Amino acid sequence: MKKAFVISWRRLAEIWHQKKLLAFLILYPLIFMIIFGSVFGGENYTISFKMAVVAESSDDMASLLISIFQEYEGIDVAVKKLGNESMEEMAKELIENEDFLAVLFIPKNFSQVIFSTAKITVFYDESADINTRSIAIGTIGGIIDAFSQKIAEKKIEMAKEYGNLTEEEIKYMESIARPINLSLVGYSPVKKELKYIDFLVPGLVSMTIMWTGVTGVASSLVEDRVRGVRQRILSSPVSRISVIAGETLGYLIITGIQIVILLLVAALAFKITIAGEIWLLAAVIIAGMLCMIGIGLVISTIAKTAEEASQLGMLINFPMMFLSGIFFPITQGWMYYVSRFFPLTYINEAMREVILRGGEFGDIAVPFFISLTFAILIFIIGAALLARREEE
Amino acid sequence: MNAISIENLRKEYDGIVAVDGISFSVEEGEIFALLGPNGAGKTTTVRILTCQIKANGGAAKIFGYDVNKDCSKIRRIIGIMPQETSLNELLTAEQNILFYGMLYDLPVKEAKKRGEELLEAMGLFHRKDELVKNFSGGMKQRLSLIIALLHKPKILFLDEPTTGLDPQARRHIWDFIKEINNEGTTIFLTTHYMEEADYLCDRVAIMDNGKIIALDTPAKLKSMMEREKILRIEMDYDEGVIEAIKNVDGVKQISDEDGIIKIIVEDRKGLLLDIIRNISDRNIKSIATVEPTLEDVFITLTGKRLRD
Repeated sequence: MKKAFVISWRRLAEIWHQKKLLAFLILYPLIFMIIFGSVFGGENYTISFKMAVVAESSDDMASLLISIFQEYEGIDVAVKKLGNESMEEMAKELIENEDFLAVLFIPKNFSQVIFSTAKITVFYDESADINTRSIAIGTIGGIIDAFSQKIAEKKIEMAKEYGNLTEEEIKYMESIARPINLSLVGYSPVKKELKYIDFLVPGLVSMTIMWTGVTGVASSLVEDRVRGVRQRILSSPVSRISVIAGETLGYLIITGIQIVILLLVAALAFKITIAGEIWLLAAVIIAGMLCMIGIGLVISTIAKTAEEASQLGMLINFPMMFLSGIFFPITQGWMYYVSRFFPLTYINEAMREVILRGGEFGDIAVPFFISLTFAILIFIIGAALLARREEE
Repeated sequence: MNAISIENLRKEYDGIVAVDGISFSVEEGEIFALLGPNGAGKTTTVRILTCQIKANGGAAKIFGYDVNKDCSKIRRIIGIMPQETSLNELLTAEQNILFYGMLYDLPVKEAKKRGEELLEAMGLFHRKDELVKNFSGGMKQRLSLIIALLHKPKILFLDEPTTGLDPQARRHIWDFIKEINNEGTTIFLTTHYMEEADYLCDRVAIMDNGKIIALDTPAKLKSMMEREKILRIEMDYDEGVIEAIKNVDGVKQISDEDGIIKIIVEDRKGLLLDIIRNISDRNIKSIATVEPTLEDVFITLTGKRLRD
């Protein structure tokens, strides 16, 4: 088995001598992380939008409401004056030509709201992206609800002070103002607030395992066969098992280095921490690498040239990349059923469980054993095909 | 003990016979060549003898070890220089040596020392730390040979050791092969260069279509042609002339290359005159009789040329 180390040493030394490949292997997961991280991974997962406030009065109450909107992070508020046109015309103009997502109208004599009621109208851009739209409407609605709540409380206070009312009457008023007290208690099974980058990093670990494992292994093994290096190695006193073990170990080390660098950069640049046990994460990653190296091994026995091998690898990798939950979770529809066929889906699940939720072995046993079984099967198939191929 | 003994060896690929029941033996200390055109079955034979593929029938033994059963023993006593140089292009020369040295169970120190000696002998020592991908064809062949010799094999298999090399590089390899042989290593080589077989070998087996069609020393093979003569005519010619000469009684083979016609003829009185009668109207630059080469032997035996 000592010779397996010789085989992996050779593979590592070869990669060491290819500085461009080395730089690529280390940089490409980082590039993915930085691009996706800076586009989607901001500190809070909020959506900002543009909103116009058209106030027909400039009393204290109106300016108070406007200032609440202005202070709210993520809302870009512009204050407008109503001209001769109708509300509809003005809203249409602002949404269509000035790109406002919502236009809010504060009526005349808004201060009267203290003694009676007032009607606020919000027009919104129905063609806007659904996520942004629903977050915007929710936010505006929430702010106005909270504002009217405050006014109601103010009114009750005033009634208590000057109204000469009985306990029951006050209770009744309170119940009209606020029939239900909503108490929101945040609970997250995740130890911290989840951001997209948290979701993405485990996916990128999978992606790295996949590309190096499948295309890297497949094309370099074919290259060896085409150049006659494989035959020469096998004509020395070394067993085929040692060769397979050595190649596997070599690629485990390369991918391991890639992943350590990826996780270090993720920790430093995006403050990603690993919630679970490192050894458990390592076990999941190794199971994943074995699956992917096994696929590479099988491809190498089918392809005739290194180019063919990397193309075949891509043919498998691209669907697997998008259908195993690297960039977005897949929970329903036909994509869900397809994703169940890819070993990477289970690797992703197990890895997210460990990295994000601090999952223990019991939590990941099922996906872990599914991937381990896949790895064993694909290696048996690969070794058998390899033996047949070498007879030619 | 024979270094190699082969009996009725057969190999088929998908119904196509590559090696068709060959038998011969190679003595210890010999330089033995398998001479034949591409596709004759030479490489297949080497791959069976070096335990890389299994034969479909017959028996082969290397120093008494059976190629079907004792591969792990055979691998330790043979050295192989394959047809493709099959080096790790992205390692340095020395790293290649250490890699194969370790695969042959040499301790690192010993592999390094032996490698340095051989690099020195082959004139590659000053380039030992360069990546092999920057080497010329000749340098790669030499390094490949060094690797085949690292573990001091009892028998060295060379599959087309000088294919694609210039004459100087070829001569360099030949001299080295002779030197190794002088130190006691048995050499088994395949080639389609008759000069190579002629210059290097104690005995030559001529192989064609998977069969051994002649086996002897180069001198004896050439003396098979004692009853024949070889005419070398330098002249302007066309297909018509060649047809005409072919029809002369006593002409056995005719071939042409670069304005020179070579005719293998029976030793018959008046034959030369008959030939000249057919070409007298042409511009003849020279006519000579020449010594037969192994190529001529091959042409006589098979009716075709070695390199086509």
